[in-house]
Amino acid sequence: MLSPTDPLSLSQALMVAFSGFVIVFLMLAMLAVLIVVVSKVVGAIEGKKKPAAAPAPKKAAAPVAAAAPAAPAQDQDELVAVLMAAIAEESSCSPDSFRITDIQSR
Amino acid sequence: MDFFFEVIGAIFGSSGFANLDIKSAIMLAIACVLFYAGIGKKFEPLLLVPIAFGMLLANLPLTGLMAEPDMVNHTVGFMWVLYQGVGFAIYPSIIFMGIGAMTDFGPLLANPISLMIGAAAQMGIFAAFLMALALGFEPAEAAAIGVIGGADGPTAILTASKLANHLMPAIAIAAYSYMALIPMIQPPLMKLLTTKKERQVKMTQLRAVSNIEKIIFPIVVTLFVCLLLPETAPLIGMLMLGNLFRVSGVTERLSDTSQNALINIVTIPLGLAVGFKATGDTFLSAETLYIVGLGLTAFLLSTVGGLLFAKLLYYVTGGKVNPLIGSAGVSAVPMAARVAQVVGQKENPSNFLLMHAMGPNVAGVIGSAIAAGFMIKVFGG
Repeated sequence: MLSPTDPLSLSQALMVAFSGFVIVFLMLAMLAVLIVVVSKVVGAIEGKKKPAAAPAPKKAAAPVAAAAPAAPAQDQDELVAVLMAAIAEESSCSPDSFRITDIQSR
Repeated sequence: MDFFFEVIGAIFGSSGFANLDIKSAIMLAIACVLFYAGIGKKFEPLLLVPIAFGMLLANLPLTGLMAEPDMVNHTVGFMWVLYQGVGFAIYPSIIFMGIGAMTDFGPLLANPISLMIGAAAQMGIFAAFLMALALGFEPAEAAAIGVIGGADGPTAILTASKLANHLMPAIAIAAYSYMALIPMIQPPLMKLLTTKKERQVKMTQLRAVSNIEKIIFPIVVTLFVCLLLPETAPLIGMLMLGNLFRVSGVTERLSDTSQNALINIVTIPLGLAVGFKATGDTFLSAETLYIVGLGLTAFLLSTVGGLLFAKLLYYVTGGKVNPLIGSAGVSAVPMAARVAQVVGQKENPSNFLLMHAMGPNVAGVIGSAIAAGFMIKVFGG
Protein backbone atom coordinates (compact mmCIF):
# COMPACT_ATOMS: atom_id res chain seq x y z
CA MET A 1 0.00 0.00 0.00
CA LEU A 2 2.86 2.37 0.90
CA SER A 3 6.45 2.27 -0.22
CA PRO A 4 8.60 0.38 2.31
CA THR A 5 11.52 2.72 1.67
CA ASP A 6 10.22 6.19 0.74
CA PRO A 7 10.08 8.54 3.73
CA LEU A 8 6.64 9.26 5.13
CA SER A 9 5.39 12.75 5.84
CA LEU A 10 4.39 13.45 9.45
CA SER A 11 0.70 13.27 8.61
CA GLN A 12 1.15 9.99 6.74
CA ALA A 13 3.11 8.48 9.63
CA LEU A 14 0.50 9.56 12.17
CA MET A 15 -2.26 8.23 9.96
CA VAL A 16 -0.55 4.82 9.66
CA ALA A 17 -0.10 4.58 13.44
CA PHE A 18 -3.65 5.75 14.14
CA SER A 19 -5.18 3.42 11.52
CA GLY A 20 -3.19 0.45 12.78
CA PHE A 21 -4.18 0.97 16.39
CA VAL A 22 -7.84 1.49 15.51
CA ILE A 23 -7.89 -1.58 13.24
CA VAL A 24 -6.42 -3.77 15.99
CA PHE A 25 -9.08 -2.42 18.37
CA LEU A 26 -11.91 -2.90 15.91
CA MET A 27 -10.90 -6.42 14.94
CA LEU A 28 -10.57 -7.52 18.54
CA ALA A 29 -13.85 -5.79 19.43
CA MET A 30 -15.59 -7.66 16.62
CA LEU A 31 -13.98 -10.86 17.85
CA ALA A 32 -15.31 -10.14 21.34
CA VAL A 33 -18.80 -9.70 19.91
CA LEU A 34 -18.42 -12.97 17.98
CA ILE A 35 -17.37 -14.76 21.15
CA VAL A 36 -20.43 -13.44 22.98
CA VAL A 37 -22.71 -14.48 20.11
CA VAL A 38 -21.19 -17.96 19.93
CA SER A 39 -21.44 -18.43 23.68
CA LYS A 40 -25.13 -17.35 23.63
CA VAL A 41 -25.92 -19.70 20.76
CA VAL A 42 -24.06 -22.60 22.37
CA GLY A 43 -25.69 -21.79 25.72
CA ALA A 44 -29.14 -21.78 24.11
CA ILE A 45 -28.52 -25.10 22.33
CA GLU A 46 -27.13 -26.74 25.45
CA GLY A 47 -29.98 -25.27 27.50
CA LYS A 48 -32.49 -26.92 25.19
CA LYS A 49 -30.71 -30.26 25.41
CA LYS A 50 -30.47 -30.30 29.19
CA PRO A 51 -34.20 -30.35 30.08
CA ALA A 52 -34.67 -33.23 27.66
CA ALA A 53 -32.03 -35.31 29.40
CA ALA A 54 -32.71 -37.00 32.74
CA PRO A 55 -31.84 -34.66 35.63
CA ALA A 56 -28.58 -35.91 37.07
CA PRO A 57 -27.32 -34.77 40.46
CA LYS A 58 -24.25 -32.54 40.28
CA LYS A 59 -21.15 -34.21 41.55
CA ALA A 60 -17.70 -32.85 42.21
CA ALA A 61 -15.48 -33.62 39.27
CA ALA A 62 -12.37 -32.56 41.06
CA PRO A 63 -10.62 -34.14 44.01
CA VAL A 64 -12.11 -32.57 47.11
CA ALA A 65 -11.17 -33.01 50.74
CA ALA A 66 -13.69 -35.03 52.76
CA ALA A 67 -15.50 -34.82 56.16
CA ALA A 68 -15.75 -32.24 58.98
CA PRO A 69 -17.55 -28.87 59.09
CA ALA A 70 -17.77 -26.58 56.07
CA ALA A 71 -15.62 -23.45 55.80
CA PRO A 72 -17.09 -20.13 57.02
CA ALA A 73 -19.25 -18.48 54.39
CA GLN A 74 -17.30 -15.22 54.15
CA ASP A 75 -14.12 -17.07 53.11
CA GLN A 76 -15.85 -19.38 50.68
CA ASP A 77 -15.02 -17.44 47.49
CA GLU A 78 -11.44 -17.11 48.58
CA LEU A 79 -11.18 -20.80 49.37
CA VAL A 80 -12.73 -21.79 46.05
CA ALA A 81 -10.24 -19.57 44.21
CA VAL A 82 -7.30 -21.06 46.10
CA LEU A 83 -8.47 -24.63 45.50
CA MET A 84 -9.19 -23.96 41.82
CA ALA A 85 -5.70 -22.55 41.33
CA ALA A 86 -4.07 -25.40 43.26
CA ILE A 87 -6.01 -28.13 41.43
CA ALA A 88 -5.36 -26.51 38.03
CA GLU A 89 -1.64 -26.22 38.80
CA GLU A 90 -1.29 -29.77 40.13
CA SER A 91 -3.37 -31.50 37.47
CA SER A 92 -2.32 -29.25 34.55
CA CYS A 93 -6.03 -28.81 33.78
CA SER A 94 -7.82 -25.62 32.91
CA PRO A 95 -9.99 -24.32 35.79
CA ASP A 96 -12.86 -24.48 33.31
CA SER A 97 -12.52 -28.22 32.99
CA PHE A 98 -13.77 -28.96 36.50
CA ARG A 99 -16.19 -27.49 38.99
CA ILE A 100 -15.93 -27.45 42.75
CA THR A 101 -19.35 -28.20 44.20
CA ASP A 102 -18.54 -29.07 47.77
CA ILE A 103 -15.68 -28.35 50.15
CA GLN A 104 -15.18 -30.15 53.40
CA SER A 105 -12.24 -29.96 55.77
CA ARG A 106 -10.74 -33.00 57.49
CA MET B 1 63.25 -27.04 7.17
CA ASP B 2 62.22 -24.19 4.92
CA PHE B 3 59.49 -26.39 3.55
CA PHE B 4 58.22 -27.07 7.08
CA PHE B 5 57.93 -23.35 7.88
CA GLU B 6 56.37 -22.74 4.48
CA VAL B 7 53.65 -25.32 5.23
CA ILE B 8 53.06 -23.93 8.74
CA GLY B 9 52.87 -20.43 7.28
CA ALA B 10 50.43 -21.54 4.59
CA ILE B 11 48.20 -23.33 7.10
CA PHE B 12 48.16 -20.33 9.43
CA GLY B 13 47.64 -17.92 6.55
CA SER B 14 44.54 -19.75 5.39
CA SER B 15 43.18 -20.35 8.90
CA GLY B 16 40.42 -18.46 10.62
CA PHE B 17 42.90 -16.93 13.07
CA ALA B 18 44.70 -15.01 10.31
CA ASN B 19 41.41 -13.89 8.79
CA LEU B 20 39.67 -12.80 11.98
CA ASP B 21 38.93 -9.09 11.79
CA ILE B 22 38.09 -6.77 14.65
CA LYS B 23 34.34 -6.75 13.94
CA SER B 24 34.18 -10.54 14.02
CA ALA B 25 36.17 -10.59 17.26
CA ILE B 26 33.71 -8.16 18.86
CA MET B 27 30.80 -10.30 17.67
CA LEU B 28 32.41 -13.37 19.23
CA ALA B 29 32.63 -11.44 22.50
CA ILE B 30 28.95 -10.46 22.20
CA ALA B 31 28.10 -14.13 21.60
CA CYS B 32 29.89 -14.95 24.86
CA VAL B 33 27.86 -12.28 26.68
CA LEU B 34 24.68 -13.90 25.34
CA PHE B 35 25.95 -17.29 26.54
CA TYR B 36 26.33 -15.75 29.97
CA ALA B 37 22.83 -14.24 29.81
CA GLY B 38 21.30 -17.52 28.65
CA ILE B 39 23.25 -20.04 30.69
CA GLY B 40 24.44 -18.03 33.67
CA LYS B 41 21.39 -15.79 34.14
CA LYS B 42 18.84 -18.16 32.54
CA PHE B 43 17.31 -15.38 30.38
CA GLU B 44 15.23 -17.26 27.76
CA PRO B 45 17.97 -19.93 27.56
CA LEU B 46 16.09 -22.08 25.05
CA LEU B 47 16.46 -19.31 22.51
CA LEU B 48 19.44 -17.30 23.61
CA VAL B 49 21.79 -20.30 23.67
CA PRO B 50 21.16 -21.31 20.03
CA ILE B 51 21.12 -17.63 18.97
CA ALA B 52 24.47 -17.07 20.68
CA PHE B 53 25.94 -20.20 19.11
CA GLY B 54 24.67 -19.18 15.69
CA MET B 55 26.32 -15.80 16.22
CA LEU B 56 29.54 -17.53 17.25
CA LEU B 57 29.55 -19.70 14.11
CA ALA B 58 28.56 -16.81 11.83
CA ASN B 59 31.56 -14.77 12.87
CA LEU B 60 34.16 -17.47 12.41
CA PRO B 61 35.84 -16.66 9.09
CA LEU B 62 36.02 -18.99 6.09
CA THR B 63 33.49 -21.55 7.32
CA GLY B 64 31.30 -21.21 4.24
CA LEU B 65 28.29 -22.12 6.36
CA MET B 66 26.14 -19.45 4.73
CA ALA B 67 27.27 -20.22 1.15
CA GLU B 68 24.45 -20.10 -1.38
CA PRO B 69 23.77 -23.24 -3.44
CA ASP B 70 26.39 -23.96 -6.08
CA MET B 71 24.74 -26.21 -8.65
CA VAL B 72 28.01 -26.81 -10.50
CA ASN B 73 29.93 -28.18 -7.55
CA HIS B 74 26.76 -29.38 -5.85
CA THR B 75 27.49 -27.62 -2.56
CA VAL B 76 25.51 -25.42 -0.22
CA GLY B 77 26.19 -23.90 3.19
CA PHE B 78 24.52 -25.85 5.97
CA MET B 79 23.30 -22.68 7.66
CA TRP B 80 21.97 -21.29 4.40
CA VAL B 81 19.61 -24.26 4.27
CA LEU B 82 18.48 -23.77 7.88
CA TYR B 83 18.05 -20.05 7.30
CA GLN B 84 15.37 -20.60 4.66
CA GLY B 85 12.95 -21.51 7.46
CA VAL B 86 13.40 -18.01 8.86
CA GLY B 87 13.66 -16.24 5.51
CA PHE B 88 10.35 -17.70 4.41
CA ALA B 89 8.82 -17.33 7.89
CA ILE B 90 8.21 -21.04 8.35
CA TYR B 91 9.72 -21.52 11.83
CA PRO B 92 7.79 -18.68 13.53
CA SER B 93 4.53 -20.11 12.19
CA ILE B 94 5.33 -23.60 13.47
CA ILE B 95 6.26 -22.13 16.84
CA PHE B 96 2.91 -20.38 16.88
CA MET B 97 1.24 -23.76 16.37
CA GLY B 98 3.02 -24.99 19.49
CA ILE B 99 1.98 -21.89 21.42
CA GLY B 100 -1.61 -22.48 20.31
CA ALA B 101 -1.43 -26.05 21.58
CA MET B 102 -0.16 -24.79 24.94
CA THR B 103 -2.70 -21.99 25.29
CA ASP B 104 -5.98 -22.20 27.11
CA PHE B 105 -8.30 -19.58 25.62
CA GLY B 106 -10.93 -20.37 28.30
CA PRO B 107 -10.26 -17.22 30.37
CA LEU B 108 -10.60 -15.12 27.22
CA LEU B 109 -13.86 -16.79 26.25
CA ALA B 110 -15.18 -16.36 29.77
CA ASN B 111 -14.35 -12.66 29.74
CA PRO B 112 -14.29 -11.33 26.13
CA ILE B 113 -13.56 -7.77 27.32
CA SER B 114 -10.02 -9.10 27.82
CA LEU B 115 -9.62 -8.70 24.07
CA MET B 116 -9.88 -4.93 24.47
CA ILE B 117 -7.08 -4.94 27.01
CA GLY B 118 -5.00 -7.00 24.58
CA ALA B 119 -5.72 -4.39 21.89
CA ALA B 120 -4.77 -1.45 24.13
CA ALA B 121 -1.50 -3.18 24.94
CA GLN B 122 -0.44 -2.90 21.28
CA MET B 123 -0.05 0.86 21.74
CA GLY B 124 3.72 0.51 22.04
CA ILE B 125 3.97 -1.00 18.55
CA PHE B 126 2.59 2.09 16.89
CA ALA B 127 4.33 4.56 19.19
CA ALA B 128 7.70 2.89 18.57
CA PHE B 129 6.96 2.90 14.84
CA LEU B 130 6.62 6.68 14.96
CA MET B 131 9.77 7.04 17.05
CA ALA B 132 11.76 4.82 14.70
CA LEU B 133 10.65 6.98 11.76
CA ALA B 134 11.77 10.06 13.67
CA LEU B 135 15.18 8.45 14.13
CA GLY B 136 15.52 8.03 10.38
CA PHE B 137 14.59 4.41 9.81
CA GLU B 138 12.78 3.55 6.60
CA PRO B 139 9.03 2.92 7.05
CA ALA B 140 9.29 -0.87 6.68
CA GLU B 141 12.20 -0.99 9.12
CA ALA B 142 10.30 1.18 11.60
CA ALA B 143 7.29 -1.13 11.34
CA ALA B 144 9.44 -4.21 12.03
CA ILE B 145 11.08 -2.50 15.02
CA GLY B 146 7.73 -1.40 16.44
CA VAL B 147 6.47 -4.98 16.55
CA ILE B 148 8.98 -5.69 19.35
CA GLY B 149 6.42 -3.85 21.51
CA GLY B 150 4.07 -6.78 21.11
CA ALA B 151 6.53 -8.79 23.25
CA ASP B 152 6.08 -11.75 20.96
CA GLY B 153 9.29 -13.27 19.58
CA PRO B 154 7.87 -15.29 16.66
CA THR B 155 5.71 -12.35 15.52
CA ALA B 156 8.68 -9.99 15.67
CA ILE B 157 10.85 -12.44 13.70
CA LEU B 158 8.18 -13.04 11.08
CA THR B 159 7.57 -9.31 10.60
CA ALA B 160 11.29 -8.61 10.38
CA SER B 161 11.79 -11.42 7.85
CA LYS B 162 9.17 -9.82 5.61
CA LEU B 163 9.92 -6.14 6.14
CA ALA B 164 13.53 -5.70 7.28
CA ASN B 165 15.49 -8.91 6.98
CA HIS B 166 18.82 -7.21 7.73
CA LEU B 167 17.55 -6.00 11.12
CA MET B 168 16.17 -9.37 12.19
CA PRO B 169 18.98 -10.45 14.57
CA ALA B 170 18.84 -7.21 16.55
CA ILE B 171 15.02 -7.30 16.59
CA ALA B 172 14.88 -10.96 17.68
CA ILE B 173 17.49 -10.51 20.39
CA ALA B 174 15.77 -7.37 21.69
CA ALA B 175 12.34 -9.04 21.66
CA TYR B 176 13.47 -12.14 23.53
CA SER B 177 15.58 -10.16 25.98
CA TYR B 178 12.67 -7.97 27.02
CA MET B 179 10.40 -11.00 27.29
CA ALA B 180 12.90 -12.55 29.68
CA LEU B 181 13.15 -9.32 31.65
CA ILE B 182 9.38 -8.90 32.12
CA PRO B 183 9.50 -9.71 35.88
CA MET B 184 11.93 -6.80 36.29
CA ILE B 185 10.53 -4.34 33.74
CA GLN B 186 6.80 -4.48 34.44
CA PRO B 187 6.32 -4.34 38.26
CA PRO B 188 7.63 -0.77 38.72
CA LEU B 189 5.28 0.46 35.98
CA MET B 190 2.38 -1.50 37.47
CA LYS B 191 2.92 0.11 40.84
CA LEU B 192 3.40 3.54 39.34
CA LEU B 193 0.14 3.49 37.39
CA THR B 194 -2.15 1.88 39.98
CA THR B 195 -3.16 2.69 43.51
CA LYS B 196 -2.88 0.23 46.40
CA LYS B 197 -6.67 0.04 46.55
CA GLU B 198 -6.85 -0.87 42.85
CA ARG B 199 -4.14 -3.51 43.18
CA GLN B 200 -6.06 -5.17 45.99
CA VAL B 201 -9.24 -5.70 43.98
CA LYS B 202 -10.37 -9.31 43.99
CA MET B 203 -12.07 -10.34 40.80
CA THR B 204 -15.01 -12.74 40.76
CA GLN B 205 -14.55 -16.28 39.54
CA LEU B 206 -14.79 -16.67 35.76
CA ARG B 207 -17.72 -18.55 34.29
CA ALA B 208 -17.24 -22.10 33.10
CA VAL B 209 -16.68 -22.28 29.34
CA SER B 210 -18.14 -25.25 27.51
CA ASN B 211 -15.93 -27.43 25.38
CA ILE B 212 -18.03 -26.68 22.30
CA GLU B 213 -17.22 -22.97 22.68
CA LYS B 214 -13.54 -23.82 22.92
CA ILE B 215 -13.72 -25.90 19.74
CA ILE B 216 -15.65 -23.27 17.81
CA PHE B 217 -13.31 -20.46 18.88
CA PRO B 218 -10.19 -21.37 16.84
CA ILE B 219 -12.30 -21.99 13.75
CA VAL B 220 -14.20 -18.70 14.07
CA VAL B 221 -11.04 -16.70 14.78
CA THR B 222 -9.24 -18.20 11.78
CA LEU B 223 -12.17 -17.51 9.47
CA PHE B 224 -12.79 -14.00 10.73
CA VAL B 225 -9.25 -12.69 11.16
CA CYS B 226 -7.68 -14.36 8.12
CA LEU B 227 -10.54 -13.34 5.84
CA LEU B 228 -10.28 -9.75 7.03
CA LEU B 229 -6.47 -9.53 7.13
CA PRO B 230 -4.99 -12.40 5.06
CA GLU B 231 -1.42 -11.39 6.02
CA THR B 232 -2.06 -12.76 9.50
CA ALA B 233 -2.81 -16.27 8.19
CA PRO B 234 0.64 -17.79 8.87
CA LEU B 235 0.50 -16.74 12.51
CA ILE B 236 -3.19 -16.78 13.41
CA GLY B 237 -3.87 -19.86 11.28
CA MET B 238 -1.13 -21.89 12.94
CA LEU B 239 -1.94 -20.55 16.42
CA MET B 240 -5.53 -21.65 16.03
CA LEU B 241 -4.62 -25.00 14.46
CA GLY B 242 -2.47 -25.78 17.49
CA ASN B 243 -5.30 -24.73 19.77
CA LEU B 244 -7.79 -26.89 17.88
CA PHE B 245 -5.45 -29.86 18.41
CA ARG B 246 -5.60 -29.08 22.12
CA VAL B 247 -9.34 -28.66 22.57
CA SER B 248 -10.79 -31.04 20.00
CA GLY B 249 -10.25 -34.01 22.31
CA VAL B 250 -9.43 -36.30 19.38
CA THR B 251 -5.93 -35.12 18.45
CA GLU B 252 -4.06 -35.44 21.72
CA ARG B 253 -0.96 -36.85 20.05
CA LEU B 254 -0.79 -33.94 17.63
CA SER B 255 -1.33 -31.48 20.46
CA ASP B 256 1.41 -33.15 22.48
CA THR B 257 3.80 -33.14 19.53
CA SER B 258 3.07 -29.49 18.66
CA GLN B 259 3.62 -28.16 22.16
CA ASN B 260 6.63 -30.31 23.02
CA ALA B 261 8.72 -32.13 20.42
CA LEU B 262 7.94 -29.99 17.39
CA ILE B 263 8.35 -26.62 19.07
CA ASN B 264 11.67 -27.78 20.54
CA ILE B 265 12.87 -29.11 17.19
CA VAL B 266 12.03 -25.85 15.43
CA THR B 267 13.48 -23.67 18.18
CA ILE B 268 16.98 -25.00 17.44
CA PRO B 269 17.24 -23.99 13.76
CA LEU B 270 15.27 -20.78 14.46
CA GLY B 271 17.71 -19.65 17.13
CA LEU B 272 20.74 -20.73 15.14
CA ALA B 273 19.55 -19.02 11.96
CA VAL B 274 18.69 -15.76 13.74
CA GLY B 275 22.11 -15.74 15.37
CA PHE B 276 23.68 -16.55 12.05
CA LYS B 277 22.45 -13.31 10.55
CA ALA B 278 24.21 -11.36 13.31
CA THR B 279 27.51 -10.66 11.63
CA GLY B 280 29.76 -7.74 12.47
CA ASP B 281 28.85 -5.84 9.32
CA THR B 282 25.14 -5.77 10.05
CA PHE B 283 25.03 -5.95 13.84
CA LEU B 284 27.74 -3.54 14.93
CA SER B 285 26.01 -0.32 14.07
CA ALA B 286 24.17 2.54 15.70
CA GLU B 287 21.00 1.00 14.27
CA THR B 288 21.31 -1.95 16.67
CA LEU B 289 21.53 0.38 19.67
CA TYR B 290 18.52 2.30 18.41
CA ILE B 291 16.60 -0.95 17.99
CA VAL B 292 17.42 -2.05 21.52
CA GLY B 293 16.29 1.34 22.89
CA LEU B 294 13.18 1.53 20.72
CA GLY B 295 12.26 -2.05 21.58
CA LEU B 296 12.39 -1.28 25.28
CA THR B 297 10.32 1.88 24.77
CA ALA B 298 7.76 -0.04 22.71
CA PHE B 299 7.52 -2.71 25.36
CA LEU B 300 7.08 -0.18 28.18
CA LEU B 301 4.42 1.74 26.24
CA SER B 302 2.53 -1.45 25.48
CA THR B 303 2.49 -2.25 29.18
CA VAL B 304 1.25 1.28 29.91
CA GLY B 305 -1.49 0.93 27.26
CA GLY B 306 -2.76 -2.30 28.82
CA LEU B 307 -2.62 -0.93 32.36
CA LEU B 308 -4.44 2.28 31.49
CA PHE B 309 -7.20 0.44 29.66
CA ALA B 310 -7.64 -1.96 32.57
CA LYS B 311 -7.74 1.06 34.86
CA LEU B 312 -10.49 2.50 32.71
CA LEU B 313 -12.38 -0.78 33.09
CA TYR B 314 -11.87 -0.54 36.84
CA TYR B 315 -13.78 2.74 36.88
CA VAL B 316 -16.39 1.70 34.32
CA THR B 317 -17.23 -1.51 36.20
CA GLY B 318 -17.29 0.17 39.59
CA GLY B 319 -14.09 -1.45 40.81
CA LYS B 320 -14.67 -5.01 39.64
CA VAL B 321 -11.58 -5.20 37.42
CA ASN B 322 -8.11 -5.24 38.93
CA PRO B 323 -6.01 -2.94 36.71
CA LEU B 324 -2.96 -5.13 37.22
CA ILE B 325 -4.29 -7.58 34.66
CA GLY B 326 -3.76 -4.87 32.03
CA SER B 327 -0.01 -5.39 32.12
CA ALA B 328 -0.60 -8.93 30.87
CA GLY B 329 -1.97 -7.51 27.61
CA VAL B 330 1.49 -7.77 26.14
CA SER B 331 1.67 -11.18 24.58
CA ALA B 332 4.51 -12.85 26.45
CA VAL B 333 2.53 -15.93 27.51
CA PRO B 334 2.34 -16.85 30.37
CA MET B 335 5.14 -14.75 31.85
CA ALA B 336 3.18 -11.47 31.84
CA ALA B 337 0.14 -13.10 33.47
CA ARG B 338 2.36 -14.59 36.15
CA VAL B 339 3.82 -11.17 36.89
CA ALA B 340 0.27 -9.78 37.35
CA GLN B 341 -0.46 -12.66 39.72
CA VAL B 342 2.72 -12.10 41.75
CA VAL B 343 2.26 -8.33 42.05
CA GLY B 344 -1.43 -8.75 42.92
CA GLN B 345 -0.69 -11.36 45.55
CA LYS B 346 1.93 -9.15 47.20
CA GLU B 347 -0.76 -6.55 47.79
CA ASN B 348 -3.37 -9.05 48.88
CA PRO B 349 -2.13 -12.58 49.67
CA SER B 350 -5.58 -14.07 49.10
CA ASN B 351 -5.84 -12.63 45.58
CA PHE B 352 -5.55 -14.95 42.58
CA LEU B 353 -5.33 -12.96 39.36
CA LEU B 354 -3.60 -15.57 37.21
CA MET B 355 -6.64 -16.81 35.29
CA HIS B 356 -8.02 -13.27 34.94
CA ALA B 357 -4.68 -12.09 33.55
CA MET B 358 -4.48 -15.01 31.11
CA GLY B 359 -7.40 -13.49 29.15
CA PRO B 360 -5.58 -10.26 28.22
CA ASN B 361 -2.38 -12.25 27.84
CA VAL B 362 -3.69 -14.53 25.09
CA ALA B 363 -5.63 -11.60 23.61
CA GLY B 364 -2.26 -9.87 23.31
CA VAL B 365 -0.98 -12.74 21.17
CA ILE B 366 -3.87 -12.27 18.75
CA GLY B 367 -3.56 -8.48 18.93
CA SER B 368 0.14 -8.39 18.11
CA ALA B 369 -0.38 -10.83 15.23
CA ILE B 370 -3.06 -8.50 13.84
CA ALA B 371 -0.81 -5.45 14.32
CA ALA B 372 2.02 -7.30 12.54
CA GLY B 373 -0.37 -8.30 9.74
CA PHE B 374 -1.40 -4.66 9.37
CA MET B 375 2.23 -3.52 9.10
CA ILE B 376 3.02 -6.23 6.55
CA LYS B 377 -0.05 -5.25 4.53
CA VAL B 378 0.89 -1.57 4.52
CA PHE B 379 4.63 -1.88 3.91
CA GLY B 380 5.02 -5.38 2.49
CA GLY B 381 5.15 -4.10 -1.07
